[in-house]
Amino acid sequence: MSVLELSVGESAQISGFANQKAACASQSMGLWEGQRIQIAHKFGAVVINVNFRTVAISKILAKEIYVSL
Amino acid sequence: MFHCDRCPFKRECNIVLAGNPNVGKSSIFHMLSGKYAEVSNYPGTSVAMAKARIHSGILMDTPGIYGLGDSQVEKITKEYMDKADVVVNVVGALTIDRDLFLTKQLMEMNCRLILVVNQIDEAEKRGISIDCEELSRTLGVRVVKTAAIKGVGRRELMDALQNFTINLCAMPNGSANVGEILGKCIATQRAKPCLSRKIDGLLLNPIVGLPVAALVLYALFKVLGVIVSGHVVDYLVSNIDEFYVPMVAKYTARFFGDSFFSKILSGEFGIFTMVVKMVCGILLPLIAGFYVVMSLLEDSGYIPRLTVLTNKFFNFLGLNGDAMIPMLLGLGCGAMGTISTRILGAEKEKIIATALVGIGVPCAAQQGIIIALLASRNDAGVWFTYVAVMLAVTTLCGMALNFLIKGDNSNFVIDIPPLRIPSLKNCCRKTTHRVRDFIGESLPIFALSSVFITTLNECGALRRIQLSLSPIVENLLHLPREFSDIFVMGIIRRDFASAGVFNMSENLLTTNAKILTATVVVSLFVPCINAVVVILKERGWRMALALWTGAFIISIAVGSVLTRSLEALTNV
Ligand SMILES: Nc1nc2c(ncn2[C@@H]2O[C@H](COP(=O)(O)OP(=O)(O)O)[C@@H](O)[C@H]2O)c(=O)[nH]1
Repeated sequence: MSVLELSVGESAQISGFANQKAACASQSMGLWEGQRIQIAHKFGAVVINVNFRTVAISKILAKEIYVSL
Repeated sequence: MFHCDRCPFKRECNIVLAGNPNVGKSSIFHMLSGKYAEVSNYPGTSVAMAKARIHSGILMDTPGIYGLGDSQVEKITKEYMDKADVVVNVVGALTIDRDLFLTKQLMEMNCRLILVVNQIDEAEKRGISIDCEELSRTLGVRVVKTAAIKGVGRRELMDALQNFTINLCAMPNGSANVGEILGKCIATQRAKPCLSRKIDGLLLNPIVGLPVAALVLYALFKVLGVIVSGHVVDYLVSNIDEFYVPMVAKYTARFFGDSFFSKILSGEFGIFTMVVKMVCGILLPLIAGFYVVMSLLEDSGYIPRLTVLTNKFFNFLGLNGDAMIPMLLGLGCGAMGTISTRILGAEKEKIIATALVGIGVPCAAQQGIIIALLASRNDAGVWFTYVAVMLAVTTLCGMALNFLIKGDNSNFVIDIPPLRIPSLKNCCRKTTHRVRDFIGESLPIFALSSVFITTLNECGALRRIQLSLSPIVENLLHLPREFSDIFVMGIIRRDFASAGVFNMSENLLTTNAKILTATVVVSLFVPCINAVVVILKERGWRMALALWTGAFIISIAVGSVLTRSLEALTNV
């Protein structure tokens, strides 16, 4: 499943990326395979809590990041 | 004093500060050099390079980057890394899991690194400890902990820089992956609940977030329109008119009689009369007030939240939330806004953002005057109409460009920094620098413009321009003929034109309809000369010409539709 399918408050672990472009954009923001994330908000963009940080990503990118619960 | 042993001439060492956005590079730059580099709590502050000399080395602050990719900013920064003798890679203590991605890339480039873990105070407050010795062993580079805004770690960092040549044999080995490094070096003893995240629960929620954004806008209007304009500007302008201008006129008349030179100094458009009144009486208090409010917003970290809330809106314009940064910097100065379009990922986004900054984003000085002008009408409807018209025009332009320009959009990814209580010291320092920059840049242009307009006036050309522009000004815009002078001023600088409108509002622009039409026309008018030069450099002459002509046509077209609609409404 993708990050976009998670609902607000749900946690998951990043398991992969749909393509290289998505992988690069995510990794530069510290979203790499194995990171645990939690969805904080979904208005305007998908807001993710990861470790001590908060990152917002577009819904298109959220669709290209795969997670496992 | 240290020199680089790479260099046979024992020249000064090039020390480059590099790191992700918002990790505190500018704060480190200030801590090491004592020199000012703009500090804000949102990514993308440092779009230009700041330099300073420290201990015989040249320290350079570079724009924040997330990786060494192909974007314009990343390429420029990479060039600086190539020339660097030492790279001081700044990482944030709370964002280290993200920031080490760039560190690894720098190691792969064989850069000579010192790793600075900044914002250590925030990590400690949250019960997070970073074992820098372990980090240093794992990466094979010297690691220094700092809290730049408090000056903590300055001596250690200076020491690391001075001893760097001795330790050059310690070349980095970046074999471990980021996950492993973090597992070894970070310990969370008693992770405290983060207040910033709780507040985000409200700010990023549209039901609360959008009214908060409206409230912020209203506060800006109140501060500038009521406090600064209603009290400070009124006081200054009335004193300048009452005491200063007659005094200057008296002395210049005594020494230079009724000569041309006397007109240049103290005539209707004189350097010591009109320019002093515009700059000291009107612009200075307004832009200072505007920058104080902006600094508080920037340093609090509210702006990235606004970026997320407005992402959807920007999507309609062919942009994404990242475009908020050029728009915001454009609210300071159009030229700065245009330069910062470099941070956008796609060419299409750069073109659209440049056009929107050029057409629909009034600069700080202009906004200050516009808010003051609109507030003087004491009618919320006037303010609402102005905002609605400007938003509608900008949205329509963006949508049209999105439709016309082909190309993909970049991914929207933004780091949301923790909310922070703004530091009054940083706010004052930033405002002082921005105001000083504004005066330094605008005063000579204003003085030259005043000489130019006085010359036109004295040789009768201004009257001829007024006559030739009268079909536009009088027939299309239904404004007094003198408004043509504003066009001449606006071609030079839009804030100069706005100050002219402010001057004119006292006796020539007496109705709400006229004030609104005049402010909308100057807001949408052609970009200032310095913004045009930057557009030429960044996007080429075709775009500069198209934007200039487009802005001229749009401002007149919107002005003439608006004036007719307002007149029709008043007659109903
Ligand atoms: N608590 C804390 N905040 C810091 C520290 N260094 C920088 N900041 C804040 O972090 C934000 C970003 O700083 P800035 O120097 O503009 O980062 P840059 O974008 O990397 O140049 C600002 O709000 C600073 O006040 C620090 O050591 N401790």
